[in-house]
Amino acid sequence: MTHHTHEDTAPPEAAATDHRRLLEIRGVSKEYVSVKGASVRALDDVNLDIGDGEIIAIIGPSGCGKSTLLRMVAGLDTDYEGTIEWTRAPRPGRDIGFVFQEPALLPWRTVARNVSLGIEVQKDRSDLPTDRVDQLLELVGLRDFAKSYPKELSGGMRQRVAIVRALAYDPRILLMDEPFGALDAITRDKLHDDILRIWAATRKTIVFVTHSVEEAAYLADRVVVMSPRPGRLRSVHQVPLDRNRDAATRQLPVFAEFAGMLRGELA
Amino acid sequence: MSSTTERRDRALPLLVGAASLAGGVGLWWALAAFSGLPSYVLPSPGQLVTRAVSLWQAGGLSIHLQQTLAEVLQGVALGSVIGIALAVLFVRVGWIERLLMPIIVVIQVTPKISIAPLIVLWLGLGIGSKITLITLVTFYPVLINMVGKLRGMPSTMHDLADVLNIRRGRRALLIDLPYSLPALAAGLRVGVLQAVTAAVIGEFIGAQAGLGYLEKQAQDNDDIQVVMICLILLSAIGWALYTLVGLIERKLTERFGG
Ligand SMILES: Nc1ncnc2c1ncn2[C@@H]1O[C@H](COP(=O)(O)OP(=O)(O)OP(=O)(O)O)[C@@H](O)[C@H]1O
Ligand SMILES: [Mg+2]
Repeated sequence: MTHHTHEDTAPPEAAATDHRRLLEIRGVSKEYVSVKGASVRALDDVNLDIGDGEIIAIIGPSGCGKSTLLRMVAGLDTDYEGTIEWTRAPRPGRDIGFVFQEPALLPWRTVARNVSLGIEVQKDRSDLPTDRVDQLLELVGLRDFAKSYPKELSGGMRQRVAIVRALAYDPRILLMDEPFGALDAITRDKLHDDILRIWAATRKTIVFVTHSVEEAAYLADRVVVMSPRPGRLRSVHQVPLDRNRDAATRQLPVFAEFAGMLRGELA
Repeated sequence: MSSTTERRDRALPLLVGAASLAGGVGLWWALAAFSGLPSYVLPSPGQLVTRAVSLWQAGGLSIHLQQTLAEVLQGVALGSVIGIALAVLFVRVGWIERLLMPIIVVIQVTPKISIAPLIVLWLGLGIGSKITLITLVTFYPVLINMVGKLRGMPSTMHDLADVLNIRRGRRALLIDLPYSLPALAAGLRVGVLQAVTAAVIGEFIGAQAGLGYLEKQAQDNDDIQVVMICLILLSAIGWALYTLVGLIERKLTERFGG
């Protein structure tokens, strides 16, 4: 690790050099054709490199194409112009963890069986500890609800289940679409620290969409700001903080200054 | 809300239903007793019960009841399986739907009663022709309800299956089937009633046993009492199945619904 002190905002390209490149997004554009035949340019010439082990936040106004971009990276949307190239192609069903904008839990499965779904459907995951699901549920404070059904949980609890479901099979890259939007501030802060802890232990690549500039600043190495109609990358900012972040980080003047700058970019 | 008021909420409609049923029987009894109609035209409830009991004791009722029940249950089971399988296939494999849907629609718009003679001619007087007929009428509402439910599946559920690389048969079993099971009961609600009708039609047209067969025979012998006994038993079967499906629907929705 070389970037413990990025006290000033480094140029965007510098960040990727700290990490081996994992993903290269080049000239990606996407047009949706509406039922009436009118076309909406959801993404326009998006270029972005994502390094292995990097945490990237994507922010931007509603409708600027954040979900669309994330779905493309996940391989859920393959109908676009441009290229998304991986240094090492993700193995289907194994390397990508995705947290959707809604929890999307299977109502007929218990919480534990929802979390274990991704492990169940893979061939041989004897590399994972047998109490993996319990550990993850413990992590998000839901161990007592392992045998409950999703409809018995609150919205925030469901979203926590969805997050650990995406982590359960130990994917290389974690993609999250507004994962913390439905949570109260305390749970959100706790999950932020959980995510950072998971990152510290596994060095997963994490790309997440958020509407909160504080969340972006607290979690990310780099923040991608998008602008709407057509969806473009407006700017990419290196977060001027080292990787060791905790509650005190939010009190730092540089944190407030950076978050304020992001807020200004969004306006 | 306390459990006593809950129980009262459930008991009240039951009570009203029982009362209206009892009222109907009372009216029937009064009509039979005071209208001056001869009892071979309108037997009284008491006479009918006596006749039914003696028929039952002579063994002349239970074989027919069993036959019709066997037909309906097997036909509905087969119809459900076919309806479920087709629904999952239709939603996943577009060309199968395009290939089969026209045939299915033609079969469904043709009055069942006009198909029945053909099926009896082809498959004979035994249980096979009745089961076929019942299957034909039950798979359709099951299919339509299941397809509707599957097409309304939230897109994130599809995305989840894609991200986890759950495909084909496994996807059908792990996701499509459990997701759409509540719709099975909705389809069967319509299906079981049509199934009883189809059984009777089949038995009218050509059979060796069954309540419809017995009723037709009684009609040929001008035996109004037996006709009415058959009719009442058939409606009891219909009611029992309808109630059972309602029960199954509640359970399925509880277990598999959001
Ligand atoms: N299936 C679709 N068909 C047509 N247009 C679509 C479709 N999905 C998205 N769009 C359009 O693409 C644009 C980007 O949508 P996207 O969901 O990526 O936005 P977003 O940035 O995630 O917004 P939000 O913050 O509200 O989630 C929007 O203008 C939207 O209208
Ligand atoms: Mg979105």
